[in-house]
Amino acid sequence: MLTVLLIVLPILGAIVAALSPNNARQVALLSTLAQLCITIYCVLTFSQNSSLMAFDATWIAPLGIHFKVAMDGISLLLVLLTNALLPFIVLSGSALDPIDNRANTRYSLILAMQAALVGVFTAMDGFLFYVFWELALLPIWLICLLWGGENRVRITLKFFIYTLAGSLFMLLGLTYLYLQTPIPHSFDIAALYNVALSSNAQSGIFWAMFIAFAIKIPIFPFHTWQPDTYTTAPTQGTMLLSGIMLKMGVYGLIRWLLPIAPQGVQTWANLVIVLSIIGIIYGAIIALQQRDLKRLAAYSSFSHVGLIAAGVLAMTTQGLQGGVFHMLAHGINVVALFYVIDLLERKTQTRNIDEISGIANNDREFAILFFIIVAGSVALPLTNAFVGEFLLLNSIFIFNPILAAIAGLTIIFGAVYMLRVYRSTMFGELNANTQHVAFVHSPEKWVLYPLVILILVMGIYPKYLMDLAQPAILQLMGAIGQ
Amino acid sequence: MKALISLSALAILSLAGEIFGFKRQTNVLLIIGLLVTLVLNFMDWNTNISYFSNMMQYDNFSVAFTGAILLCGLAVVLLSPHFFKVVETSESESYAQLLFLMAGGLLMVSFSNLSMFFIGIELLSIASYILAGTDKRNLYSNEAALKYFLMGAFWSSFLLMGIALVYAAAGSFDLATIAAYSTKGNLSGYFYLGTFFITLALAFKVSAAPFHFWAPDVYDGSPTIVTLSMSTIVKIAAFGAAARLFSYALYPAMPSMSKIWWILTALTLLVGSLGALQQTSFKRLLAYSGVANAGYLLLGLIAANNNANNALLFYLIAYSVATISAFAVLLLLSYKYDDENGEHFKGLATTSPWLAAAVTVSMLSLAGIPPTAGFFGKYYLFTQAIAAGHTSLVVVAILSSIVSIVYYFRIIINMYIPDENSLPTALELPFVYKIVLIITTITSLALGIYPSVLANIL
Repeated sequence: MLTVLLIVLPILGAIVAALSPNNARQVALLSTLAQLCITIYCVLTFSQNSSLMAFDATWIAPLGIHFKVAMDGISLLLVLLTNALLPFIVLSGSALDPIDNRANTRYSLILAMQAALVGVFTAMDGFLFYVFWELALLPIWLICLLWGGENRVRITLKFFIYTLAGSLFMLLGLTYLYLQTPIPHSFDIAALYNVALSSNAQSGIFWAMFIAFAIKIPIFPFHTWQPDTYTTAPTQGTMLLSGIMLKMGVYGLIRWLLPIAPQGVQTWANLVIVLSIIGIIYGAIIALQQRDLKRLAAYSSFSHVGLIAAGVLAMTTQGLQGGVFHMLAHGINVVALFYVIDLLERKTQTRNIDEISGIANNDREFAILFFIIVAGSVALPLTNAFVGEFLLLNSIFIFNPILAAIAGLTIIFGAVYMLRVYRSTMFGELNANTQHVAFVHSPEKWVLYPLVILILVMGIYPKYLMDLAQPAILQLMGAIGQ
Repeated sequence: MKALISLSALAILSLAGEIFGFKRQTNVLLIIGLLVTLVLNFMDWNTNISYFSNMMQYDNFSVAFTGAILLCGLAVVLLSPHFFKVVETSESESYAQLLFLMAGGLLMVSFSNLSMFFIGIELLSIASYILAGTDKRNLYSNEAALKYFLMGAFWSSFLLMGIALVYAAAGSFDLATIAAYSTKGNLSGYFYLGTFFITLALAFKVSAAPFHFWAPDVYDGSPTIVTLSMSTIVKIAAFGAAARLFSYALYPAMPSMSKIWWILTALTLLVGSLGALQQTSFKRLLAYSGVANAGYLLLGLIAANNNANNALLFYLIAYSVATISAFAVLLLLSYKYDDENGEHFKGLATTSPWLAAAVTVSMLSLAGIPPTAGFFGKYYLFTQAIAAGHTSLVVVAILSSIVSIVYYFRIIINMYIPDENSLPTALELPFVYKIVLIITTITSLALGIYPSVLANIL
């Protein structure tokens, strides 16, 4: 029941936000905070047998489709990620709101997106999963379209068509599976897990679903929508996309693809892991060349998620543990990073690295906060990203040591471009753009503090969150049959 | 059956309105009459009576499809008065033809004898030829009527030939007898040839490629209100008739024709969506979208069983509801501007946000995005086609859906991204249009969120 509440509450919030043009942000903040409180309650009372969080009702009886939602450890962590980030994403709109006469629509869409995301992470029925998957696409598309920057029409349409194309083939795959279940057919996740497929069918299902997830993550060469979309989207949109939405793809791999078509994954693992690693290197090299901060962060994100995908697709317990944990870590880090970039852009009117310098001279506190975020992005030990990346590399190492060595380059490259950004923006002489930049008394800092604390706490004591997901991961590995 | 009597009576009543001078009240009378007819129609639910020495069988299939036809007819009648103020046509004649068209449709979805099927299809066709030409002084309308008539007459002859050949093989016009004959096996060549001819004629009627060339011109040339009836009522009737014919009698011939169906369906899907991509006129876009949607519906015909018929009905309703929304707004635009260019949607969200919301829901439903009826409808059809072993066709249908996103979303984007230079003035929204749009929008969403209500009624 609690899970349903987590889906319904944002919808109600969205409706109220839409109807209150003057204080939509407050409504949204209230709604997301309430949501966060419920989520924390779920985390604290969580145990594997908790039936409190499961809900099952017939939805479309003639086709055996149920409205079935539940949370195991993996879902719980992703729901936690979603609901923990949403208040920050809402808060980060404070600068845009005064000049936006459609702010209520924007917050309404953000909350609608939240509902759909929670739905994606908790759906235990294939059809329901697909519906939430699509429902998450509509609000983010509208956010990017209505508040986007240059060329938004072309870029957002490409984004929409790209992702929809992938997901339609996933629907085809799911429907094929559905028709293989014993009569009366069912979309229930357990029934889909139990379908025995020939190795050809496994390959077919693998590709039908993999492409959908690969586009969302994105994995090379399905990534071409991503940098443009990240850059043109308003900051809140970029945060939703990079912080949470791409996790839908990885979650899809873990929850749906690996257990349903393990042989398919094994057959194609070499190819797709190599593709992911190409993405890691390719993204990192392009990030090295970027002068535009937002584009740099977009490519860096692309590079990092390649690692998650590769680690997960290696199908080891470490890979899944690392993947789940790193999804959280990456979500927090990337939202923090985009938030900082947005702050810099707003204060200096530019996103070009070369035109920003010397901010540490004005505001040391901000420089320290930013440093911790950068440290998180480059996976320094004692930051949250280190734990995940280590496990993921470990998983790739088990699969193939040489590939692991290549994938490990991501950490070095990451350090190069992130530290360069840090050096050039924070140190050096103040210039015309940064003359009067100081964040000392700005309320925005209160968004950065909790994020930075999360980065450190998760890095120093990851055990609590890891333990939450552990039983679910072991169960999943059991389903995969490894 | 009561519905048929009531419809014919209403048709004569609207003609009498012209003679006895209660023209002005005809519209209101028809609205009341159609509501009564709807009630009469649904009173026949679960009765399953046959009429005219087994020429018609009024079963649940008929009641459901007739209900859909009547509701679309009601929408057309509601939207008509404003249209007739702008376009000079003879109002009561148009109403009479519309009702005859619906009566023809009713016969087409409730026949149990091939001769009744032919009578129904001709009644519907002749009424629609006339309706296409009702804008007498408009060249395009004349062209549409002539084109439609010539092509229609040509393909009617194929239909008749096909029926004759099936008769030659089975020795009867009766559906049950034909079914009994065809399931016995060892079928004569006449039966296949007849089925083939009937398939071609029906492919023309539902504007399946490569027999679709008439459709964009006829849809575009006809008065908009007529285009609306052609893309909803005629479509429901034609697909209803085809589904009835194939799933009641001719299904044994389906496997041997699967290649033909494959080509028909794949071509229709691709031609429809690629054609729509090129259009600047919203009306022509809807015409091509009608062709593409015929492709999805053909997926439901191939399986030729009861589940597939249900999927077909669901999608026909979802498609008609979305189309009525789109046409209502098209009509509003055409009252204000002289053409039907899609550019007129620019900035609509700023001036009429609720109207824009209705168009958005309608476009999403046509594009098949959840949570709208169009999504579940498409999905339902896809499932039936995959279950019948036509996965490759579903792949083509998915490709066509992806292409269709471009043109449906172009409309949505136009509405929400205004042209900086010129903001349109708000559209005037008459009361009935408001009612129709509210009902269609809510139906689109409700059927998308809870499709169970219609997913298993046959």
